[in-house]
Amino acid sequence: MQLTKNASIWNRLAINDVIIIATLLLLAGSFFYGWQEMHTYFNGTSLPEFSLDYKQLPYYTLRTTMRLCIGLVYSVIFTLIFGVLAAKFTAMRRVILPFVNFMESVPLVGFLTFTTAFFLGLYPHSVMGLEGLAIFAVFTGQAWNMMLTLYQTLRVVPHELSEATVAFRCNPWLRFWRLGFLYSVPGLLWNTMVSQSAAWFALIASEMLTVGNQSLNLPGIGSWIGCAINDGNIHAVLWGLLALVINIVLFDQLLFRPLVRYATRFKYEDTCARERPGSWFYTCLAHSLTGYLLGKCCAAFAYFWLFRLPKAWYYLKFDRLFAALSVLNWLWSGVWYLSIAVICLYFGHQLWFYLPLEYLPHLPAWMGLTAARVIAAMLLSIIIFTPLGIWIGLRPGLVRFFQPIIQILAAIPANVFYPVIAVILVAWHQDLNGWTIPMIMLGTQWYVLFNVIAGASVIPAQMTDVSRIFRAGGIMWWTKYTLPAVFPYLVTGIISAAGGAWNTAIAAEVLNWGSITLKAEGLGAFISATTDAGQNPEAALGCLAMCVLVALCVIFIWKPLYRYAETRFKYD
Amino acid sequence: MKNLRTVLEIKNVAKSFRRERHTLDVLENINFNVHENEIVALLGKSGSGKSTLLRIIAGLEAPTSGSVVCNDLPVKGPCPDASMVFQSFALFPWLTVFDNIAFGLQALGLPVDEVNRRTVDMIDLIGLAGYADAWPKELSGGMRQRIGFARALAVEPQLLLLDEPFSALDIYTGHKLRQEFMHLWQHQKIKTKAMVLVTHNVEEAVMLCDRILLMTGTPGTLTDTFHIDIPGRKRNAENIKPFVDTITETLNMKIAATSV
Repeated sequence: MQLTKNASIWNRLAINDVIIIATLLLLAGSFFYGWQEMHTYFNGTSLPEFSLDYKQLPYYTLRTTMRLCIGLVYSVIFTLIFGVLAAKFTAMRRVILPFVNFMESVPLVGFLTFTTAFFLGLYPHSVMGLEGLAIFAVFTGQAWNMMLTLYQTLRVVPHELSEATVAFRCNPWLRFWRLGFLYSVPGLLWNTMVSQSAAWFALIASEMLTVGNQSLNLPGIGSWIGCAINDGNIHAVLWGLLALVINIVLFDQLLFRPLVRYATRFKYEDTCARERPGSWFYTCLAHSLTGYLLGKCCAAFAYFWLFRLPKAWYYLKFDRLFAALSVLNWLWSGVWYLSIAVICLYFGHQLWFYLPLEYLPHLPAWMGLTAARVIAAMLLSIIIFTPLGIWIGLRPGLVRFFQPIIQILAAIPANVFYPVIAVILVAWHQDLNGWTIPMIMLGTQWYVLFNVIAGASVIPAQMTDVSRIFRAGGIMWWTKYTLPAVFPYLVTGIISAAGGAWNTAIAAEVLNWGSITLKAEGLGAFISATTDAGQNPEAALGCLAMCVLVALCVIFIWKPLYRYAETRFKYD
Repeated sequence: MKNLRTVLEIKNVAKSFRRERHTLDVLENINFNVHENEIVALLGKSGSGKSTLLRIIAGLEAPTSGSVVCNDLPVKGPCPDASMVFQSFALFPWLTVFDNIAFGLQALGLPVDEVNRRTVDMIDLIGLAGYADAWPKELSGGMRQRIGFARALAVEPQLLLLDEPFSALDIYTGHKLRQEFMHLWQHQKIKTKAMVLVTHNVEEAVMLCDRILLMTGTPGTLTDTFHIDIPGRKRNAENIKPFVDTITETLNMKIAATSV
């Protein structure tokens, strides 16, 4: 950075400008084209014929990317609003946190069916209604995770920094944008990258929609792969996979890498020893006239956003208004709690009469089977990937090499592999019941690996020194030094993995390849069968049962485990 | 003093770090010995390379050139005869006071009985009795550094390396801990033969050490040596003042000369 600042304007090469302008024009062009295509007419029953023509693949990729981008924007907005509300107001926090915690681990695939009517009503006679459904799926894949990250980092903003903002009489708006927000940017960004896999998973699962008893294929990679699987066309599946990987890499290179590179300056730690992550696109931007002008624009906007906007607020005396209102805080929180309770009771009552209760006796067995699979998959992920993660994490060279690869692998949704597994299982005459476990692992292992690598690579240097000085080795090295050091990260990893695991269980307990269908016994199989058949009350019952399981896990396992890791294993 | 055994021998040690394109020289031409029953201070301003030198002695880092011999064995990797106390304590938050102190003993692979016996002895000796089952987080800075000392001393090292052990404590706590530690050393309650102290506090160095080496310049070298010839027990604020003044003056001069 020092170098670029000292460089004169002549060092900004014209070639950089060419690259940047070309990329930006291409992106803008694709965006407008995609935007128009998203708003074409929809007659309410069928979409244009979906073709497995390879020439169409780039177009489908564009449509999928559009959904991902829009979903990301909504996720960020949701994160900012609800993260701040939860961090600021206790009454809000008590409702938002359990809700989001719960939503994070709830099987979103099962829920999508119920939002169909809402989105179709929102955009009548436009494809946008169906698009909205897919975008909502992307949103549910990542928003909860991102919001929780923002909330958690806002809570641990260093005390002396927040006191400094108070001492310099910053208003709350400035305090959030210049301290809280910036402080949480690196973590938020990292979490968003990790959540991409969940977003892709949701997108792949939701592009083939069931409306009423018709199935509609939104143009996109997810539908492409889905159709290819239904046809049993392995070439088309592989092409779809290739397009997916290219898309993930492009997203990574053009959006996340530059942002991560930029956000290194917000990291609150001395980074002298660490190497900064590089990004060719960022370097191009930093060395180009376009980048310089864009930077000026952004700076002007930031000035307006930070200093001009709050002036309007204070000019209109809103601060006085809110100060006056906050005197009655007990009243507002009372009303808030009461309305939440009434809403819950009302919907609970409605739900009870909606659900087909004759399935209730079967549920405990199904729940037990699925839960056993999920737990087994997570334990296996921990046993296999913790040592691997530590091995990689302690070697900075390996971390640099593996991290991008793992990121791309993790972003490939597990469900695209399932048909391949189905073929193998059929060929070897295997039973799906046991093999569901490694398939769930395909989705969960990355969270464990990611977090353990992160944990191992941030072990304080002094701790490493101590273990070396006293020459701790063998079992002792594991039990007293590395495992405890990565334990909090491992717990975070398992908790995020758990959310994915339940989702994956739904997709993994029923496999399709061409005309072959494999089915395992369990709650997931029940949910996917009823969803595919459009039996909404049954699907709702299944989802509700899974929600109960998830809630039990959250309350009795994850929360206590998380608290234990926080209090005992964190450095001061 | 002359006929005493040499515990640590440092010959022509130099160290440079490689940063992307240029190399950064940190240490150059370092030569000194530490004898039995001697405490040597490495004194210099922060960033002069004294902590790097200590890490080289401990075997945590390899010198770019030169050699370190500890207890007649060349140091290649963490040295079995040396132990270290850290400025920021470096205690494991997930281990109790007892387990933190026992860490080094357990790493030696000693039988459980002996580990327990020696840990309990050390807890009593260092003034941590009653805190064995506490977590480091629950204790004050002074108590935590006691754990740091106890952990380092429990393995009965020939050479004890002290990396600014009192700098993270407030003056009074640091002073008290220093006095107690000196008492243990002077009455030979601990089996350590020699110590190297890294510090930037002149008075602390004069109070504790028999020999003070000034480290100045970039790359850092040892420029001056001071022998404190008052016996440890007789040192007090009055009679060390001349030493403190001389050393402070020399140090200021050298720093002023190099930083312009």
